[in-house]
Amino acid sequence: MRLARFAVWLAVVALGFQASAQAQVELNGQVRMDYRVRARGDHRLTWNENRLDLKVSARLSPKAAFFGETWIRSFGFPRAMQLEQLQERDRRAVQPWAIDLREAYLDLFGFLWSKLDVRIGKQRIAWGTADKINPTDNLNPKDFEDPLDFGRKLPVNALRMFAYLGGWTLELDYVPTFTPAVLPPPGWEIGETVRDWLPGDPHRYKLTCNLQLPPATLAKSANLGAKVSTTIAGYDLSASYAYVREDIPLPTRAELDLEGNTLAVTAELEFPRLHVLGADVAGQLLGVGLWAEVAAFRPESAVTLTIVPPLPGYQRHAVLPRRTYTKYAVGGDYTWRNGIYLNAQYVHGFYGERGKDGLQEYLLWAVEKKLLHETLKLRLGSLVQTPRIRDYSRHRTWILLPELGYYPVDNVELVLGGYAIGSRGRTTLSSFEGNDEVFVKMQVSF
Amino acid sequence: MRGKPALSLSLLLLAAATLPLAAQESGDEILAKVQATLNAPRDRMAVMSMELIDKSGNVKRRTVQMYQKGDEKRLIRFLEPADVKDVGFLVLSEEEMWLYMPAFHKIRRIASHTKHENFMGTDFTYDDLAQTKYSDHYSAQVIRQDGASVTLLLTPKPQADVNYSKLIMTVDKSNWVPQRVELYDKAGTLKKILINSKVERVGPYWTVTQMSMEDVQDKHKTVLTLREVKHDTGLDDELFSKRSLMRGS
Repeated sequence: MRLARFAVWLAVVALGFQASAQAQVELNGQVRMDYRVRARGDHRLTWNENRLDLKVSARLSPKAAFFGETWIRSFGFPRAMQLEQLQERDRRAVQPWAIDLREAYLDLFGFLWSKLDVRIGKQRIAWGTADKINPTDNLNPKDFEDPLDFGRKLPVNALRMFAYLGGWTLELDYVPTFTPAVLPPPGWEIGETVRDWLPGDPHRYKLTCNLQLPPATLAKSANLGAKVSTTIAGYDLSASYAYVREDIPLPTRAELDLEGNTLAVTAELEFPRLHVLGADVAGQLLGVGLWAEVAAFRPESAVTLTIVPPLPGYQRHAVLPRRTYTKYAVGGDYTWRNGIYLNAQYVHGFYGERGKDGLQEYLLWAVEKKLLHETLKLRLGSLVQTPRIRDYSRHRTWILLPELGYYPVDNVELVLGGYAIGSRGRTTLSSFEGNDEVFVKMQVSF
Repeated sequence: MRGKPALSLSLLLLAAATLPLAAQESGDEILAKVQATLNAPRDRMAVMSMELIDKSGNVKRRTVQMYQKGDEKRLIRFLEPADVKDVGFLVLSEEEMWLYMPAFHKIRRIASHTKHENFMGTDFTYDDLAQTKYSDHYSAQVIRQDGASVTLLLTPKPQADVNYSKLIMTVDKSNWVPQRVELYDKAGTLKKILINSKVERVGPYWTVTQMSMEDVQDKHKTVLTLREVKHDTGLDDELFSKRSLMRGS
């Protein structure tokens, strides 16, 4: 698989250089370093990433352009367990590394018709006007590799068409292949897990989860999207519809079996179909930037978990009823004359939350101030979460994210920051408690 | 030799004829002439380079490609530094601004509060760069005048949402382009000095091709240079659209 990706990446680069005969190919990117350590306990190292982010782009003609982005990264810690692994030629066990083709697409402008633009290839389809947490943004699967990088998604192969009709834009998206989400690393679980649906003490099970991916057929695997947008009275408005699959799987069957003194559970998980109707708006009032975004989710059919115990008889639980549930985000931002920038957003329903009773409440805000002509940037971000506002005193999680950015010369960014996390009771993010970390990040752009 | 006294006499007569007329012009009328000069081209495209110089003499550089149509429609695309390359900024009016950030694959609506922010760390605020229609926000009165220049005091109109308590603008009467503008903060203290150091005729239009903005309080300076300036090339309205912003043309 990795070899295949590398081959695709090489093809993109080769295409780039071949195209340079007709067009100027630009090669840009970043070198990044991200290093994190636990602020408490034994100060365990938790993140060790060095990444070369290569972007190649070219305007082939006034009507065609391409873009490709590849991450080449050394990520993680040595995981060699056997002496022989230290002798492996690719040194993956000593210094884990990977190549990830993030995007590779072709743009055709005025394709067949002057008002039609088309984008084909692996790409990010970013919908929504809210800040990072976008309820309408469902055509790319979620990427929780870095759980505090809210809104990170996996690019997918897709065909996008944009028709520009006067002041209106009609967008049609077709994603032929289903891709599941990347789940958070252990210790950063978001929301319900399979164990939460099982009876008794969930941590005493030996759990095996088998995924039932949808068949790779156009009917079963494809996601579809349509969006219409315009500007009316100074406000950007859009309405959208998406026919997608839930990219975080839900359990549909769990077979319990006794293995000695241990209860073994074999679970089957599926990715149910959803209809998503969305709308968003962005504009300003009295100089304050404002946005709102809402999405109504309706499962195509109810998802039921059947628990088969070792003895005769079984239980059934409604995991996701066939009932519409609505997520929304409302926010605003403002910059004062002294340069202080405030961004605040209220969110009902986080990524990974689903079902009317599963949606929780979030307040996010950040204050920023740039100093010395953008040589320094101070930022303080915060998130407060509770299952229901009336439950705040008993169930809540809060995260505080201070950051200091230093930009000594053009194209160089050094960031020192951290997050402090507190939690009481049970919330979607309560597993984050105790994960306080300090991080150092470096980025050089070229 | 004979011709000289006659020429001098003609100049004196001309001066005598024109000076009283100029003196009769109000500050607002002169400001209108300034705006008419600055906004004369139907459209303009240029590459704009900026050197940011701090008090230790360290220099940072920014370069953008700029397209402008009329006095409000503007499309700016960042060429350097690399960390903001291909970021686009579209302005259709003071209330309609969008930013395209390739890293986020999104066009984001920008509210007018950003006009108080410095543009990419320069000494120009977004508002300073957009300021070609002074009369929308300021009233002008003549405070000094000689044969070559006239100096105006610009004070904010009631309810004007501006960064400065007053501007003192010295205008070259030969071309009606400001030579120097002093910008005073809300406390009435001199904050910045704008000097249009190079004014050239590009085609039929007087064009400022080099200017500096010095923040005298922060001891920081930005030198802005325009090159590859073209006027009246018939820029299409389609260029000033979100479609164009996203496709990077």
